[in-house]
Amino acid sequence: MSDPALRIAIIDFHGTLCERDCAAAFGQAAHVETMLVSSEKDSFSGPVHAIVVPGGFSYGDYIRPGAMARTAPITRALYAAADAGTPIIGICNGFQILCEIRLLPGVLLKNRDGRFICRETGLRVQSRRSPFLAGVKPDVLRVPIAHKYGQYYCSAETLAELQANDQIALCYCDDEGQISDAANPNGSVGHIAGVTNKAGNVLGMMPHPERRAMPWHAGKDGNWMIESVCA
Amino acid sequence: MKYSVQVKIKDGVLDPEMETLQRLLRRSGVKGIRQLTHTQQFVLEFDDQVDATEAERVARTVAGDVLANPEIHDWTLDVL
Repeated sequence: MSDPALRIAIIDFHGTLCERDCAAAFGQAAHVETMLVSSEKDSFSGPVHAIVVPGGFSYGDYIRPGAMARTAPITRALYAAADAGTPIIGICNGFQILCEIRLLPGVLLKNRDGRFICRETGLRVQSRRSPFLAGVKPDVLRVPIAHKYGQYYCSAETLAELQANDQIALCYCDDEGQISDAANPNGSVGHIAGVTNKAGNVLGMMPHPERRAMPWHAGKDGNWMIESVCA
Repeated sequence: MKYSVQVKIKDGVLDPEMETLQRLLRRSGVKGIRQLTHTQQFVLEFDDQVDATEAERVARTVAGDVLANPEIHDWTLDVL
């Protein structure tokens, strides 16, 4: 059997819980091999095409969601991969982690109304610089969110930088694709649902594309992102 | 050496927990509270063989890198 063309690493921190969903969703294509990598490892044991930091409650959300990930051995390997230009996506708690380890700007605060929100939301693709978004054809995706700490926050200066550098990847929108306060479920500054680093290879987003990817899911919009990075 | 790190949310950053608590207190009849904030205190106690300079350096690193997020927090360090 020949080696699969693409290896996608899925990081499993203590308390991560979406790793199997991500493995199933990202591993659908025959040419893709997904591998779970414990956060206790300090490398990915070989080249990887892309890295997924899944959702969950890593380290029990102690201190702040994602904050403890800074102490994990795999985090150094994440820094190196980000520097090398490897496509990286952080989903939900993965987004919180990427912000807390400073691979992405900003931070995720408790939702504006303090409640856990679990529902589908519209997402407007604002920038396709991330390899996870480069091949996404529709401008609006329908993907669920499930979070209590999803309110993206950054200073006014950082927001201006994000806009100037085309780092705002995804914004919350309504069914018609309109961005508004009413369509913003958690009070995120700038209606932001996802941002990239300056280089564009690291993407963080609160919604779960892996929950709209399989035949038994209510929709398959998440597959646009999966197919984009696996192309 | 023993250090106290106090972490508080910066002015202007929304704190839904404290807003909710203030609203519930008001509803239950508590009057006169203009603003309600909270501060987290972490106490770092070092081994005896760590000298004060090194202990303070480590305490500052831990405070700035893990205990607080500079995007939303102000923090202070005190010797106990």
